[in-house]
Amino acid sequence: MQKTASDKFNEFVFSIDDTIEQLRLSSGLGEMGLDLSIESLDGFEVYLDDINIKISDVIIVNRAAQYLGECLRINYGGKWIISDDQNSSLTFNMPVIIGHNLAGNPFSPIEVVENFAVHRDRGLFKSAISAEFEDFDFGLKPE
Amino acid sequence: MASIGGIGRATAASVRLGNDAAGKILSASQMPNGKINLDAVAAGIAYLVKADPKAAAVATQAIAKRLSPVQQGQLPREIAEAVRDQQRGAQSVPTGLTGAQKELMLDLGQIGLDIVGLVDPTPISDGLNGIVSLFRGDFLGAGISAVSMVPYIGDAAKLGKLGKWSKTIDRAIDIARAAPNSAMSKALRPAIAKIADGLNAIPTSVLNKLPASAKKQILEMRASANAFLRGPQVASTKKLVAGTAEHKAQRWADYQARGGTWPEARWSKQYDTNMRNVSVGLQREVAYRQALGGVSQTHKTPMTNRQIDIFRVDSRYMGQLKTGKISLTSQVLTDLRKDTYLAKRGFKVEYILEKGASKPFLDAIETINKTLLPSQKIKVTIGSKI
Repeated sequence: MQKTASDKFNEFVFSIDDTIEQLRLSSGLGEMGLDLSIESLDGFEVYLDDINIKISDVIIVNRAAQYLGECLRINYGGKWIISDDQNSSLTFNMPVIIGHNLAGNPFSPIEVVENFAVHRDRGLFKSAISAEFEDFDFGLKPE
Repeated sequence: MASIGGIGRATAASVRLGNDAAGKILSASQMPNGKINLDAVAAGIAYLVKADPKAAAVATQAIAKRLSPVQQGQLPREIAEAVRDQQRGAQSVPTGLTGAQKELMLDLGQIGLDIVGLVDPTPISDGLNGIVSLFRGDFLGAGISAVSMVPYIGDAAKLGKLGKWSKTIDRAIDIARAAPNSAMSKALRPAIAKIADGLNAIPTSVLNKLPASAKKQILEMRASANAFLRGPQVASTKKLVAGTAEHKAQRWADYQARGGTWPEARWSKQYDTNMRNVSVGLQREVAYRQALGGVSQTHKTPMTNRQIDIFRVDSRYMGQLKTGKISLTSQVLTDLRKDTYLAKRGFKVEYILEKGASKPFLDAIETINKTLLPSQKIKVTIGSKI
């Protein structure tokens, strides 16, 4: 029987603890290196770059997204839900986090990890999380 | 103790009421051990704030004399909390909101009071708001409200708040639109409605006496709040096909309802130009998508959805095509904020400006790019790419 989006979502959330344990072992970063702090994300990016993460490797992308999402959730609150945003082919039916900021905008760790897998831009994870809490008011005024 | 806005102008009746209330509140707040229960005092004064803010100020100062220095220090905060609680109750603020969400609700309530104070010939709204401002530590706001307590005379001082009001209202509308079924959105709607009522009640005669920039800001806030509240009507307008006679008639009616002052011939010329530009723009978008590969896509952002003209999933590329010269309008500024958010999430954002851009727009991109990592900078291409 084909898994529903709900089944996949629950498996994703259920396996987060195991994933983090496995990442700590396989990355060699251990509990200290992957301590779910925002600072740990820089080292995590180096690890993902070293293993040559690719967008096509769904398992690695999902695991990385579990860690990234948990970093946000543990540090800023919120909870995982299934995205119902049918406008976005990137996030629809995917696990996202809501409730971590005032705007109520969902944070999609899978999307961010996929973007990292494509461009390998160092600092992306931290900037993506900080973007969740910025008002983007640059002091600019319309002309 | 901090002085309370407006106490210097308290009427004899308010002084009497304040002193009477102080005695009753103190008596009701006295515990068996003789100490004074500060929570009870704060709750009593908060109720008095609602009925007669000047009397509340008198009572606060009278009661403060009976408190220990430590309690004197705590009292303003406790009263502020009690006033907040009462406001929260009055606004039916749902439980479970974050601190920032509660602050936003309180801001909206305060803006509503300020706006009512602009046209309310009695000083009650302003007096209450001045006290609320002081309790919140908003000393500039408190000063302005205190000046405004003389009806109509000091109201010009409030104009300094317009920018802050506008920003707060826009933020609230964005949040309410982003998740229309959320508890926060349901709480925001009545608060925005109250603000809209206040803005709609400002007489034209008062508006016309304001500086042009202030009048413009108020009209824009009014239009935003009303547009949000009449959402379904806007949606029905959107169903009309752009460029048709029905669409044009509806747009003309909307323009007039919003207070536009162009004659119909001038408006019609602009409408026709815009429709031509939109049509040309859409054709060019299709051409770009075919040439570069990619699709049209929307993406959620904290500032509502962003329409992406050319989205390439493989390279995470987001191209924005402008077939006419682009200027830094408020809409463009909002779009830039959304694009910055997307850039910080790892998308590669590019503006293709076929007819160039104004200097303020290019300066804005430069300013924004300084806040981004080198790999995230928003790219600008002047001229055609296909």
